[in-house]
Amino acid sequence: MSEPRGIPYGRLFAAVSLTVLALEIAALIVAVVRWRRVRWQAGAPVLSLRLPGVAGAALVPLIAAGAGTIHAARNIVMDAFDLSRAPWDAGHGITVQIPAFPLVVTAWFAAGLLWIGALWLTLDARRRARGGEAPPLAPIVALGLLPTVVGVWRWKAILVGGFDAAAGRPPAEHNAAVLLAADTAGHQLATFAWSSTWTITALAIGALALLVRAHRRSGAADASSEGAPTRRRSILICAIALAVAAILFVGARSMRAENRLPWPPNHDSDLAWMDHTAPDLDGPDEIERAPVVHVFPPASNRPPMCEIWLDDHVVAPASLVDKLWVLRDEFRRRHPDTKFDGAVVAVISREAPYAEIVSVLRAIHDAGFPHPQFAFTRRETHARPMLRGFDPAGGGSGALKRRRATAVRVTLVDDMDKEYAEDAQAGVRGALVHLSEFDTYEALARKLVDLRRAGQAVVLDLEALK
Amino acid sequence: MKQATRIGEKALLVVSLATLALAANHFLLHWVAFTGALLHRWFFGV
Repeated sequence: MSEPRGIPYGRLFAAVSLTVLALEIAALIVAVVRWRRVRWQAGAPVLSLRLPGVAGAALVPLIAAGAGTIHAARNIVMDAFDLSRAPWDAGHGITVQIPAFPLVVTAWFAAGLLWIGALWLTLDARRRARGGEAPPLAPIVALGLLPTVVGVWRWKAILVGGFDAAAGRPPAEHNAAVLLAADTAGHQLATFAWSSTWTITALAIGALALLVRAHRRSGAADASSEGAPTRRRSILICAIALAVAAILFVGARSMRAENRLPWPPNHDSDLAWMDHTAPDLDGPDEIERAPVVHVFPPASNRPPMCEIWLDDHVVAPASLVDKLWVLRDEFRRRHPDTKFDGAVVAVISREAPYAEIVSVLRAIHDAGFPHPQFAFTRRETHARPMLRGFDPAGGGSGALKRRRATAVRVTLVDDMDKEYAEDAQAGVRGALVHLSEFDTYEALARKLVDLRRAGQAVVLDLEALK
Repeated sequence: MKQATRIGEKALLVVSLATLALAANHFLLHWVAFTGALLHRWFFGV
């Protein structure tokens, strides 16, 4: 996958992050120089906290710019899902997030660490100049986020690899490969985040152990050396930290619910055009590309008693055999070295007269297509915590809905096949089903699905109806 | 007593900042991983 251009507010984020990182580096250099000066020179003046303060305030626009970039990309996606903009914009909005995340997270992490370093050195220099306790070691827990930052880069690499590997493959395979990469990347990221959780915990325990040891060594002499303002400041920092933590936990709740709920298997959405009057069944076979024969109920009470389409063109029932013959000959002419598989996709309406369906199946067989795939369309509804379906009334509160096209594959045989093979099943192995056993297509379709679900091949006998 | 209070205050700071780091880690994980859910939603169909 080439790096997608057009990250929303990408240039603004680049400018802000470079400026803030430069400021944080400058603040750290100044803090190091001052800290060294105070360390070696007795009676040095107490340092001001102005520069670390400015550097800390500069983190706010950096965080806002990074979050704004991702939020803008996600707005594009959600608007496309709500059909407020072109559906393909969803793809753009998603793919631009992939390279943006590592940059945003790394910029935040680097700037945060630089600021903590500068602040700590300045506080330590002030302590050396005027006495008192050493600055707290607590900020060291920020280092524990490093595995997650590495994990975000790994997440990006897996997703980019997935897109590259899927490029040029048919839509169904492409989407499945990309989704597999996305799931793998998500699991890897979760592993890195889990590692961060334990690193943060270990660093916190280490900081607490050092704290207790330092107090044991210094004894009660320093106990009251800090004034009330310092304590109030410490408690204020604790309160702010806990409040921000609560906001982050609550903010992640809906995304967490969405991330934890598995998605239904992907399928070839290109087949969603399938006629929705086909039986509402879940066939065990995937539909393979082949000529498509649609059979609809008659438009009126006058003949013909069904309407037939071949590859989206209306054909008269009597000419279906000829049209299919032409297709078969054309295939053989164009692919002289490829074995003709005799497959056809039969999309048959539940309402089509059964006798007409039998006639169509005979025509398909007689034209040299003995392997029809009976296609079905199943309506699926999936309730999601956050990513809901398009709601025409507005608000996007609907469940996700789609039609899933599946099939059962059978082999057609007639009396001539049986006579020629001198076998009741014309030499074809599998469960034998007689068309004459049924009165409706839906009943036939259910039987075929049951047999295929039981793992049996199905042979459909075209004998005359009773 | 004052020393114990002081240690308690510092320990509270460590625990608070660790909680903040854990929350940030939790948020980052689900914020980034949500892109995968968007991909699933995209391929599900509009």
